[in-house]
Amino acid sequence: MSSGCKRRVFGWTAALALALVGCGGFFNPAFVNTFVGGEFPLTPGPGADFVLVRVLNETGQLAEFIVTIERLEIVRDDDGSAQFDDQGNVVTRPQRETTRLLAQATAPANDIGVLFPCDETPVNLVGLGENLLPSDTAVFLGGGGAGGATGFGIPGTTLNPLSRTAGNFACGDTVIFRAIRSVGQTGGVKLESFVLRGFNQPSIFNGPNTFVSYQQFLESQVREDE
Amino acid sequence: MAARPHEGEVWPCDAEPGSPGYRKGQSVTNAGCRNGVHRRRRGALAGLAMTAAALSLSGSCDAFNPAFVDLVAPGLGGSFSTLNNAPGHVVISFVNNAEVDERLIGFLETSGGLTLTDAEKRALRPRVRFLVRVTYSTGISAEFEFVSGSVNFIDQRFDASVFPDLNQNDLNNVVVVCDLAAVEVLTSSIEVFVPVELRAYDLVDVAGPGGVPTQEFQLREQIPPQFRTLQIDQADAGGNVVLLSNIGLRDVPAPVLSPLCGSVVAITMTGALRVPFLETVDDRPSFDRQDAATVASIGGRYEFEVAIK
Repeated sequence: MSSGCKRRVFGWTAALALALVGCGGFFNPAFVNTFVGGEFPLTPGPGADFVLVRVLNETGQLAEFIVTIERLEIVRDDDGSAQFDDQGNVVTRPQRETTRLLAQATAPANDIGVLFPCDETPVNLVGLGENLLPSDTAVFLGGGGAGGATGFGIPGTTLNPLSRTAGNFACGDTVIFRAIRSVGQTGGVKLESFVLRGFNQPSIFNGPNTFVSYQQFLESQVREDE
Repeated sequence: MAARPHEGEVWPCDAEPGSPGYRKGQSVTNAGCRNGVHRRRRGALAGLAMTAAALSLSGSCDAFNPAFVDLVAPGLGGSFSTLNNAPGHVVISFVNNAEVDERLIGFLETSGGLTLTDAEKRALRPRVRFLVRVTYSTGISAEFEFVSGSVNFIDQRFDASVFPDLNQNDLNNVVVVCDLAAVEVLTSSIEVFVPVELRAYDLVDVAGPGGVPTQEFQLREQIPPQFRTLQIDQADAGGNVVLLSNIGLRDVPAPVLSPLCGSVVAITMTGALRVPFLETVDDRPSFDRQDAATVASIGGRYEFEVAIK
């Protein structure tokens, strides 16, 4: 091999090595997943029956997201069996669940989520604020949590709750609520919502199928008296 | 734009081809004049590789992987915005498989005004809360409070609304993004809600009939329903348990170090909520304050298991 050729090979090898090491994530599946996907699931679906609600805090300060879902709860009798109406339909009633997620100011602790099962009873509404009203406080900004410094609330005025029946989301999807700095908005913060559809996500991954594993684990938890 | 030398052509450093200054034998490269075959194309390619390497070092690997997931914002108007894919998630889950002692259920039904269906009795679980600290590989940490158990399970003579954690919604799972350095339950934060009033007695010396000294239990304190911190068994220097409490030495939730991205950290709790009854003294939940073993066991006994799925 001529010296010129050797220098070429060395140059290419050095450049490629720098690129791979610099990217770091080429060997880190998590990093690869960020840009290419296929390593880990981003949605519960299509294999798992959850709605993943993630909150993303890009305000630069502590933010507590008040996430509320509404599902139809099955009305049961004293024995725990479902009740039926005259037409043979299962009797249900709407029930709301509110979860407060405290997202830190700095990544990656600014991105957290919670899974809501939707196999037995569907999740019909997902939004911010305890009562899913525009006047509700959707995000509490700057507070230090329990006993912490005072902050202020951001209403969910510009953010409608997402509706399953309207097709905004479905079981298996990931719903993301993001708070970002924005001039001209209440408190200087803008709220946005995003949906990542589960049905068109891959079902086979190079890494573990996180949400399917979680569902299988829950299904294995049966108490002795059940 | 001046003509550029082609691969293999020999050009002088400071002359255009065909110009009077052109001399055979010299070559032009981007790096300057060198003897030999012109290397413009190879130099450009090397420059591209170096640029790409520099970009990667600066964290912008987009030049290699320009794929992003497009997300559509629903609701008003409709607009297209993009968010980067998450690197992956770790699910931290808490399953409350603890039970409630039947004697306690019986007391609440007979004296506590609680009415439970058979299905509700089967599904009854003590109200438990604790903190989980998540430490990311970047060094940042965050704490989450898990709350799980039957809501409004309390002696009806007390107002459940006074205890927010008693009727707020459960938080039994948290999804965090990768990569994590550790997930640990803060054992000093594990609490269980005791749903009844506890009556604390002291055995005191009193003068009996005819002045004969005797002892009797006297009520000293009435502890209302409240969350009670669970204690770990006490052991001596040799590791022998000297005082049984709420959690055995080997049943403490273990920390998880560097959970793999995409895994599920499952925290499972078993055991039973119990309260003492000072027999022949009081038919309500009660105890002798000087009975260290009984005091240590108030709240019940539990086991924790932490597994990675």
